[in-house]
Amino acid sequence: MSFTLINASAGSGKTYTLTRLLAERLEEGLDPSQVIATTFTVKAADELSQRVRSTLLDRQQVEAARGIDSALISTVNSVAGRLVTEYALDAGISPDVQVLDDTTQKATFAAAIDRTTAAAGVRWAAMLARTEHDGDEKDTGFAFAHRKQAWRGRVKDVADTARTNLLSAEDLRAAAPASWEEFRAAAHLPEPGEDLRGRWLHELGQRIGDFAQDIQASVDESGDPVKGGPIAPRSVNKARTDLEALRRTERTLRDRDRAPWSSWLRLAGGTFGAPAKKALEPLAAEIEEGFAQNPAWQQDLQDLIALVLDVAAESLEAYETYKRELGLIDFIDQEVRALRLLQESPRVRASIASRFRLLAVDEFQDTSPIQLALFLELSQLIEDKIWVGDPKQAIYGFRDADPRLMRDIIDALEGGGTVFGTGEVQNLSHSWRSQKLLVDFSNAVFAPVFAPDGEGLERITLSIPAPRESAAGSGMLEVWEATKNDRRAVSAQKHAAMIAEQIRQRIDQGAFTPGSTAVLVRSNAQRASVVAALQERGVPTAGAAHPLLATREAQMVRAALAVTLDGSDTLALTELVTLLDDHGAHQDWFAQLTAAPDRDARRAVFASWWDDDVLSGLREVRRACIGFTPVEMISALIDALDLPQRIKRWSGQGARRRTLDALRALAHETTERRRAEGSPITLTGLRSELDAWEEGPDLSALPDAVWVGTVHGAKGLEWDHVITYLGGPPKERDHSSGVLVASPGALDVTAPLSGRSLRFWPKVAAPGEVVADLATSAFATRRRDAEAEESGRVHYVALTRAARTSVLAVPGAATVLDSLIQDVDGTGDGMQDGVHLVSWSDDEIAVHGTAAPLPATVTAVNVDELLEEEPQRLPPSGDPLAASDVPLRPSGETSARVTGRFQASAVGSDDALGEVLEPQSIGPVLVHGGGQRWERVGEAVHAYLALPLEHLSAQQRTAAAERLLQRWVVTRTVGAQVLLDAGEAWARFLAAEFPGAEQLTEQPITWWNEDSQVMEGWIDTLLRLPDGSIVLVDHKTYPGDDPVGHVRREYLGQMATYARALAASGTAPDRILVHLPLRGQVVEVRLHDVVR
Amino acid sequence: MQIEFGWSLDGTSWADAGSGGASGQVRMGPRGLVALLQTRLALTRPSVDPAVRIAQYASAISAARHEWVHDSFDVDPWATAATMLHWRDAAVAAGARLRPAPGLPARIDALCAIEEVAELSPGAADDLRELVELLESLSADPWPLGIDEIRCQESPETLPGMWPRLLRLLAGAGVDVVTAHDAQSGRPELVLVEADDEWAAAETAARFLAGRDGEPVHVLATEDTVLLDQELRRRGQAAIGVAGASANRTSLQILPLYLSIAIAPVDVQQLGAFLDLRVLDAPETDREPIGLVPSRVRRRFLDALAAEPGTGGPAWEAVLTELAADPEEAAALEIAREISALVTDPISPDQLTPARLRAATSWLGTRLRALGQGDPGLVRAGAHLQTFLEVLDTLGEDHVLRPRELSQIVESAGGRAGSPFARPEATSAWTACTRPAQLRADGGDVLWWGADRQDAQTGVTWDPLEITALEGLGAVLLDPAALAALETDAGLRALLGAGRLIVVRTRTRTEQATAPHSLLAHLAADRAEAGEDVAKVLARHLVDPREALGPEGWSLAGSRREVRVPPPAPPVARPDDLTKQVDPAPHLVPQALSYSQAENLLGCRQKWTYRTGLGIRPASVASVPSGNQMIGTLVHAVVEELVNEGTERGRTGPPSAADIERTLDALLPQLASELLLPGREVELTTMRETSVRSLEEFFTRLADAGLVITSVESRFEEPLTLHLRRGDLEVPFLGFRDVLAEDASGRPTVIDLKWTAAAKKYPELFDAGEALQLASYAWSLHDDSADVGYFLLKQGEFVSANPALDPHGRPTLDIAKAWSMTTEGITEALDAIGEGTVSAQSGQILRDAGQDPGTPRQTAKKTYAAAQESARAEGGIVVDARCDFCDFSLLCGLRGDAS
Ligand code: SF4
Repeated sequence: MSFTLINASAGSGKTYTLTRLLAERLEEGLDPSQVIATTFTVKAADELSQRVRSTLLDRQQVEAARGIDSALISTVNSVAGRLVTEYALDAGISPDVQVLDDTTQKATFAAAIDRTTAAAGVRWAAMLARTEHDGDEKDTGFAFAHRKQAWRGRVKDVADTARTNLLSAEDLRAAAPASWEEFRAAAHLPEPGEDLRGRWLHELGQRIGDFAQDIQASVDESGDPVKGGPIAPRSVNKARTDLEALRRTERTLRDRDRAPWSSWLRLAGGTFGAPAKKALEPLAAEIEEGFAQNPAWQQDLQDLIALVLDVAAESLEAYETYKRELGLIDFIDQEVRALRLLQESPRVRASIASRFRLLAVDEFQDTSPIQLALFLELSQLIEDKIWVGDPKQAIYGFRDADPRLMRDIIDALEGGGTVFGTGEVQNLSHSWRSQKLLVDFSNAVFAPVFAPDGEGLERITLSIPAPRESAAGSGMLEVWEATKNDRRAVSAQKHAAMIAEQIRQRIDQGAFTPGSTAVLVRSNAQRASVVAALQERGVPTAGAAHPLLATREAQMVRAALAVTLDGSDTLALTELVTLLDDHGAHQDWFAQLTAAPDRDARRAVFASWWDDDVLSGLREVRRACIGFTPVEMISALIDALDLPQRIKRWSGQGARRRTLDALRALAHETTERRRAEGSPITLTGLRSELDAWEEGPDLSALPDAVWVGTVHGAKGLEWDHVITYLGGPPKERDHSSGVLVASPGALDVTAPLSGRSLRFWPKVAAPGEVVADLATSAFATRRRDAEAEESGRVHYVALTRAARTSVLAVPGAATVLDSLIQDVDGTGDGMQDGVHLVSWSDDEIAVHGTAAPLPATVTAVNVDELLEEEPQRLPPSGDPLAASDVPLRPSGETSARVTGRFQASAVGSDDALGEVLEPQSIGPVLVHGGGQRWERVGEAVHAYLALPLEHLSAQQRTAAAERLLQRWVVTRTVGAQVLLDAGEAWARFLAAEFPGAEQLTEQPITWWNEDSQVMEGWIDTLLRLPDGSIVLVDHKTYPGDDPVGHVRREYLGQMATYARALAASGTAPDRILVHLPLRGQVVEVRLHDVVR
Repeated sequence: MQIEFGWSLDGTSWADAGSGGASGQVRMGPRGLVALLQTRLALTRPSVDPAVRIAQYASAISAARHEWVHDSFDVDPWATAATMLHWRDAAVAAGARLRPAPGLPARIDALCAIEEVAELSPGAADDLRELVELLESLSADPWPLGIDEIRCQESPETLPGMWPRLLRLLAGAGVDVVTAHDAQSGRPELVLVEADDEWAAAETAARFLAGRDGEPVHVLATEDTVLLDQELRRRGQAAIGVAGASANRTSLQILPLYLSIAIAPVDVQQLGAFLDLRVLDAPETDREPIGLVPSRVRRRFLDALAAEPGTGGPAWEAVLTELAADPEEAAALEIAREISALVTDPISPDQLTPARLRAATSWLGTRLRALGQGDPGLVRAGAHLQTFLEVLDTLGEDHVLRPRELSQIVESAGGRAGSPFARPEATSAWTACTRPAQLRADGGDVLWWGADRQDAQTGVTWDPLEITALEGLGAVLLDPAALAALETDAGLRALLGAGRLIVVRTRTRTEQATAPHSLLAHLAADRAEAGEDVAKVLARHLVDPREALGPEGWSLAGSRREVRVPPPAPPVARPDDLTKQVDPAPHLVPQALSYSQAENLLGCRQKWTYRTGLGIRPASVASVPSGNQMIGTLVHAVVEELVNEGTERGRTGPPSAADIERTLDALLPQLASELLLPGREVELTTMRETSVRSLEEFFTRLADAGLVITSVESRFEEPLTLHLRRGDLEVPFLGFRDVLAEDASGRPTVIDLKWTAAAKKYPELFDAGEALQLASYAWSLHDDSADVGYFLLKQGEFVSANPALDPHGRPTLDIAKAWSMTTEGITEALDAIGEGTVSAQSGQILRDAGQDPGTPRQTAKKTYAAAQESARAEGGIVVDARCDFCDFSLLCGLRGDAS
């Protein structure tokens, strides 16, 4: 047992090291089929196997390279999937499950949650209304206004977390009382007392009455404020609106059953003006004080917690049942099942242990708890382990990775003493990516972040290896700082404008090229702003997102699909006319239609539109589409519309070809989904899928464009110039609600998930004191710390992507980076106060705690002024691919050519080809008029005659005849004697007619005809006569009464083809015979024109 | 006869270009050789459908009840049988005799136990074994095979399973079995083109093929050539014609589609797709293709679905009545009845017995036979049904299929159908093949299209214990690496025979990244300089399609094409003024006017013109309603039913919650059947709860207000005279009054029911005196005392001036004013349209504000509110025609891609 753990910091040659180690093991005699290597993405898996193959070839390990396809190099999902499929029967599950992809899984899971929440939602409607958890998940537009939670969303959070942490429905049910107890304790809730809402409401009514009177007394008859009233004139207006608000609140509160708790709390701490506050005075204080002990409120909280957890538990079960019935499985199931198999089946353990000898795990820091458990389980069975990754780059917390669990496991492995034996730990600390200045910068920034006490620095800092010394000498650090005319925060739009303008200038000056530049952002909103700002400046941009159907080309395809499927879709037809500028009616379609006096005339107009030349391709598609798959249908429509040529004339043709590809991807994806669901696949369905499609084409990898994307999307990538969009220090957020997974104290590496449990705290309205208590709870602290740590890792990834230029695009002196270090001021409050981790002057960047500042270029941009200016655009650069060697629409004859291949039997017969002589009888008639199954009898006879009968013993012949009748299931139709007789008659005929002939049966023949068509076929029999002449024979099992007519009608073409083919191969036949065994006859065919 | 035999040569062509013709020579792989030997040795037989073999094996598993298998078999009999059969065939092909023996590993033990009881039609592995056995038994008794020589590309000993044995036997039977040792040692020149997408790749490859001036070339296509062929056709070249077979074609989806509507719950969208299904090209070019359901039936049923998105309701039944009334439609009626019976009484998912399925599909069989004479697609569909029925026959009559089992059987029985694109066209310019090993380059140029990594072969993996056991049973197994190397070596040998290799591939296909074919790395390794790594070698040979374009035109590897840059054709800028101006069109007047038409005339004249005036329509299958519209119809019908039922039964007082719920549930399958589909529970429960609460409120409130419902859904048709500038126009104004009620004094109240999420819209209209729809209904009563109001079904609230219904204290609607506003608006609109000036007010308002239909609704609402405000100030009115839901936004020019 050996265990190698490789800590590979950013750019330190991780994949290189892994492939080298693999190659070494293979060289030492490991067989490729004994390797399991897992990676995080399909792309990475492809790359890894390619790299391994190349490395092996580099090292002259050709044998291993050839066999490398037998290694199991794949994503964790598919490795788990393979194991589950291969050992399905050991697990007692279906060996052929449909794996739900991410989208379908979400839909399916949502459906399961739907079912269970449907009933519960009705039953608990009032409580959900009081706790404001009755929001609509999809209704995001109103989220701000109402601040309502969708309790179904919380159910989903809980259920998702449970699944990745291998928690069962039972665990969730058990989590309800535990969560409530911990919540109550942390919130210091008093014992439940009396429900005073009735009294409060009564009191409120009176307060409002008094308040109204006060207002009344402070205005004159016309309603204008007057001096000397109980309310000062300048406060009257506010008082009036407050009164309105209070009345509304009172109305709400009167429906006690459904009135939200927050409405009560708003009375206590609302944003009222002084007069209203005064009017509410004793009541507000009473509510504030007495709220927490309200038994109904406490009960609601408890119920809400229980509801979410119980329904989550039920949903898990419902989802299981649903999948079981349909034979579906999702990625997590695959992993869980693989894990269970390994844990529970001795046969599987033994089998795996005997099959595999090396387990390589790439990017181990991104594995989810279950995956981790799976690897640890496999690691017990497989001798040699190599794990490669970088805990500093674990940024998939949101995708279920649990960096803390990972860290604990690594500590345990490194410490030795586990079942895996001593681990060998390697730290890769050479940067093969960035230039020196950039390496120095990230060393300086991240040493205090990841090693505040200086321990473990070797896993964090990188150095330039000797061979790169000279090449990696320089590097550029830049700061782009937004300044403003006022003190307000820099908006995303302005921040983005600054970035875009700086990029535009640098591209213009030749300092950057679009393809070597990237902007890293944290959110999709930031991305959208940056993309918009870049596009405004004519900078080619990758990462834009617009719906598919917003593009002209997709609109054309949609309309073409609709009208091709259903000619009565005049809407789609008219759309096509408006979209295709070369359609005859493009200019005046509306005039044509309005001029038509009646329905029939309009129908004629539509018909003429459909008949326009431009649509000739579509007319062909309509004829052929019955045979198309959805993907082929899209390809055919794109071609019929000449889109590949059309888009050469439009802007952004690269992006437009992506649209076309996205359309095919859509067809592919929806087809697969329907297949998984067991729904039929139809072109009508394709059309409705396209109509409902909301996603856009994937424009993330457009070449020669500035890449704009999130840090997560940038993982594993690098560019020469990277601009990191850095916001200001984050605002303190509430961490006291949500889902938390708690681990037991000590970790058992053989069962990493055991003892874990889940807690759920709801986000509810509560009095200030309770809120404060919750905010400092262990629950909130853990969530807050996890978030802060994640932020450190995300920024590590962001700031290590650049090879040459690293730009910090900041909104001012204080940045989010400052929050990465804690407690540098030593106050012990976990916050740094006024200390900047990174600060800059005109030409230097200083990192807190580092002695020497680093040289940098700092550019300050007044973003208020920038936004006033009309943005300048880069000159458009033509795309060479716009050049074309063909016209827009293929002109002239486009009809299909003849097929490349043909079969002799399909060549039509024709009297002109030759003549058929009268039949010659060679034996008895075997079958009269054809029997019931004469086609099969024919096959049997045919097969019998194909045998080298003259060389077989009588016994062999009988055996063969019987065998054939049996195999063609015609023993009841004819006896073996029929075949024997046919053979005999034929033999007699040959002996008499062609003495000494050599008989060649089933002879292969090929021929290229003058149209370049190729024929490949088998000739029944060729007779080679002693004089060298050739006789072509074909056996036909025709039982009818008109042999001559039959041969003339059916076979002259075939015979002629054979004859010409033989002639081409230099063995032209001298005679051609058609043998009709069932009739006991031979007819001769004389062709008129055979090339000799 | 001479045979060239290679492990990867199945499906290869054996006609050599330029040879003209040849006889007595053939090139084949394992499958081909087995088939040939079968003819030679009297071992041919009819082929058995794989689905039938799976069914046979399933019965064997069920009879054997092996412990290791039965859990999985209980869960998923079909897949378990298919998987085990796959293993069994692999074991047999390897040469194992599956006879029970003590101490076998579980999987092998199970295979042996099942084999004992199996009555299985032979498959390819059995054929091979039978051949070997026969040849062995013939060794004493010679049987000439008529084969002179077999030249093996691989040395026979390196082949897996029974193959070495078979080749030894052949050698023993007088065939000269030799190994071809012409190891290729060429070093083809390498050109690697990588395009960003498949269209750019296809263009490059097509230019290359078209620009060679007749120089011969070999094409190796390891991916489908659909796009490449399209580009070739543009350049007057022959199609290469490589396209995969697939189960996703109409011919193989007819049975699944049919079954999906024969089994409950019926999905109306699926039913729509079924009705819409065209299966045959039209007999004449100007006609619609022929449907599985004849057009007369299709059209009527689709219209019925558009009216009532469910089956068995009045609209659905009306189709049958209408057809029955017409003696000429007897045939159509017959079909309509069959379909109706199928979908109104679908098989319950727990009653999927062979008998019910046979009965349900009998119409389909008849119809396919009637339609499909000679059409390959329909013949295929018929064969699919036939195989399906054959499989059903192997099941016991009391066997109840699970839905999943059914769909697996249906899928297995269908297999895959070839693509219409798989049609190579004749050309002398090149030869083509689809696997590297089949390439015969002979030192010439090779174009390799789609050199992408292929999915690894999915052979069966046995673990070491199993291998020992199988070897004990007589199997010969190759280790997986050796098996993988067989294909690699053969491919590499063939590629090295090329003089120049031009590889064209795309980096992404259907939005998935592709990876280069593994053989490319091997080729690169061959030409690496000392110490140079393979990736670098490949990068060194990489060419971007753009690099082929130079001042001299396009050129790549000796091939040339003239190019020119077409003039850019930017789209016409979006018009600032959406109004369309044409010649006067006085014939554009309504035949009859409904309120919704009136609303369009007021809101957007273009919308009315397109839809009503010009009859521009979407496909009928797309008009099957769903969402709010569907629920609205349903709840309307519930009200109607409740009132009618109340009258019939003499119920006094409002209906109870239970009444409402019962009525709703009864009407669901007819009017909103999609809510009964799985996954719609929340919607259904929420809708039911809301409706019941809301209708209770509706009836109670009306009763409390002293109003008695006198009619529901009452149709009216009143002549309306419009004073157009070009003369008076009289049109019938028609519509349905949702609910008409009376108070004790006989004063009528019209209530319009609305199921809408826009809770504020109707109160606002009402308060502003713009509730035009209510005004029109009131006008139709010709009763000055008539009162009007809305009832908002989703919110459970009345909008009315009657304080007993609505406590908000709303002003009374000035019906006369609102109605005259309506008629004036209509008149103006028709005047303008008649004169050829067709504006699009709704869209114009957005456009003037720099917005479009994609503008968030909240923002657009504000824009309209402002427009309404200013219109009101001038005594006018603005009706929001909802551009965001309008079908015509491309036609009016509001939507579009202006980039
Ligand atoms: S989108 Fe708007 S403006 Fe255009 S036709 Fe429809 S309603 Fe009229």
